[in-house]
Amino acid sequence: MNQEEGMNLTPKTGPSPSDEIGIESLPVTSYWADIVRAFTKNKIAVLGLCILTVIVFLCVAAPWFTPYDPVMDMDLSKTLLPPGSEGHPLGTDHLGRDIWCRLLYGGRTSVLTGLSVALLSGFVGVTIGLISGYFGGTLDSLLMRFTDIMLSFPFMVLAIAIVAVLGSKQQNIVLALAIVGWPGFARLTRGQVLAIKSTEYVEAAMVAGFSHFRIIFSHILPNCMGLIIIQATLAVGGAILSAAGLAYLGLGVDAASPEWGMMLSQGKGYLRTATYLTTIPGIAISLTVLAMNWIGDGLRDAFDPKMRK
Amino acid sequence: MWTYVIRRTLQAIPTLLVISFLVFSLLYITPGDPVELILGTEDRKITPEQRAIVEAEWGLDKPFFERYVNFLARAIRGDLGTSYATGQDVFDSVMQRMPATLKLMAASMVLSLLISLPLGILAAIKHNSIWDSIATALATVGISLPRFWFGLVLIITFSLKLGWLPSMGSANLDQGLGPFLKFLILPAASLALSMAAVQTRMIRSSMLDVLGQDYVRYARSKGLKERAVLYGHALKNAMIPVITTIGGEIGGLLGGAVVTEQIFSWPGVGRLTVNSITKRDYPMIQGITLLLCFSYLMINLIVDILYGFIDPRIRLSKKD
Repeated sequence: MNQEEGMNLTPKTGPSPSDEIGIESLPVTSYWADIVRAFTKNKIAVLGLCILTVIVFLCVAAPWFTPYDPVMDMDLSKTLLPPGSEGHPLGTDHLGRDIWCRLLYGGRTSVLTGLSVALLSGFVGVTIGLISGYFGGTLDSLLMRFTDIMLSFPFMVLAIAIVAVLGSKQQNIVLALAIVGWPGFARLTRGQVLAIKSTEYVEAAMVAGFSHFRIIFSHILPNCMGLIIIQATLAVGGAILSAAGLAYLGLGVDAASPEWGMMLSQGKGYLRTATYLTTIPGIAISLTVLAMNWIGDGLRDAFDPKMRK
Repeated sequence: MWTYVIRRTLQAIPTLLVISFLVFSLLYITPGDPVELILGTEDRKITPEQRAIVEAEWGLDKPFFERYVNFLARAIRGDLGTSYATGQDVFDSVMQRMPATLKLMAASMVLSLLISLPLGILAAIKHNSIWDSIATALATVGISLPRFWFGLVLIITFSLKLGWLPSMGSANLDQGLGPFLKFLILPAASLALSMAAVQTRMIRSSMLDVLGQDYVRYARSKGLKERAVLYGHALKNAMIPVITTIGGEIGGLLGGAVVTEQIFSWPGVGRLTVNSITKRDYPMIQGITLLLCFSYLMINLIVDILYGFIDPRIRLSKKD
C-alpha cells in the first residue's frame, strides 16, 4: 500500500529507495491480491468455487455432455427408468425424458435466475444505498423508511403474491425476487457509505472539490465492493432456493421447459415408485447453493482484515 | 416505557399503509378481466348489461384511488371482500385456516431452538475444535437445502420407507397428544431446518462474543464453576441478539409455511394460498397477503416491545 511512499521520505542521498533494507522483506501487495490470497488459502471456499465452476460448465456446455433434447426427446416406451439404465445414466422421467439431460439444461435456468436476481436486486439496492448514505438528509430518511417497510414484508409471501398476479414467467420470477431482494443491499451499502464518508480521504476529496460523481464512484463504491460481493454471492444461492420453492408451488417457468424446482415438483407424484425423480434435482439445487454459500463465507473471511491476519 | 410502546406502535402505521397500498395495487395491475373471473364464463359471452351490473356491485367502475380508499376503509373493519371462487368472506376463510398455520410455526420454532441452542453453545465452548467444525458445517448445509426438498426426503424416509409417521394431514389436540404430534413432527421438522441452521450460527457467534467479555473473565476469576459462568452470565447475554432476530425469522417461517403446508397437505393458510393461486382468486390472494403481512408486523411489534422490557438500552434510546 504505502510502504513505498514511506520509503520515499528517506533522504534522497545514498542508495535509491529500492535498495533500502527491508523493501524486499515487506512484500508490497495490493488490496485485491491480499483478498485473493486469503481466499485461496481457505480450502472449503476453494472447493465451493471448484464445484460451482464444474456445475456452470456442465450447464453452459450441456449439448456436449448429452445427446438428447430436454423437451422434445420423449420416449413413452422408456418412462421412469431407474438411474444406471442403458443410455440414461440418471434414468428417465414420467414422459421418458433423460434426467441427466434435463438436469443440465435445467441448471441453465436455475443458475441464470439466481444470477439475474442477484444482479438486478444488487444494482437497485446499491444505487439506493449509495444515494441515501452519501447525500443524507430528508432523501435518506425517506429512502430508508421505504427500505425498512419493504424489509418488513415476509419476503416469500410477497414474492408468491407478485408471481401469482403477474403470471409465472421467468422474467416475473426474477422481478419478484429482485423486488424482495434489493432492500438488503440498500441497507448494507448505506451503512458502509456512512462509515467511509467520514474517513479522511473522502473529506480530502471533498475539500479538493471533486464532483460527487467522482467521489462516489472512485472513492466510496470501490470500498463497499467487498461487502456487496459477499451479499451478492449469498443472494444467488438464496434466489435459486426461492425460485425452486416458487416452482414447487406451481409458480415456476412453464411445465415443459426444464428447471430444477419444476423437475422436483413433477417428481413428487412418484415418491413411492421413483424416488430419484425428486432426490436428483434436490441434490443439484443443494450442491449449487452449498457451493455458493461456501464461496460467500470464504469471501467474508477474506475481506475481513481481522480474519486475515 | 409507555412512550416507547406508543412510539413503536405508531411506527407500524405508515408501514401498514404502504403494505395495504402495495397489496391493493398488485390486484389492480393484474392482467385479465375480473368480470370474467367473477362470472366464471368460459363459453358464453358477457353482455354489456351484465358487465355493468357486476362492475357496479364489485365497485370495479370507480377510479383507482377511490377504490383504494374504499378497500382500506373496509379492510380496517375486517372486511376484505368476497372470494371470486367460492363467494365466501375472505377474512373468515383466512382466519379459519390461521390456527393450523400458527401451530405449525410455533412447533417449528420450538424444534429449531431445541436443535440450535445445544449446537450453537457447543460450537462456541469448543471453539476451533472438531465440534465447532461439525456444527458450522451442519449449519451451512442446513441453509443450503431447499426446505421443500428436505420435507420430501423426510416423507420418503419416515413415511414411505420406515412407515413410522403419516405423510400428510393433521390431527387436533382433542384427538390425543400422540396423534397430534405424529402429524405435526414431519412438517415442523421440515420448516425448522433452515431456521435452526441460521440460529445455530447466530448463537455460536453471539456466545463467542460474550465469552470474550470482561464480566465473563471476571466471573471465572472469582472461581465460579464453568457451568454457572456459562448459563448464569454468558448465555443470558448471548441470547439478546438472538431473540431480536427471531422476530425477523418469522417472516421466513410464514413464507416457508406456504410451501411446507403444500407438501404435507397441512390445512393452513399456505394451502389456501396455493388453491387461490390456481383458481386465480385474486381477492383471496390479496386478503391472504395483507393478513400475513399484518400478522408478521404485529408479531414483530410484540417482540420489539418485549425486547424493550428486557433490555433498557433499547427503550431509552431516542432513535429506533
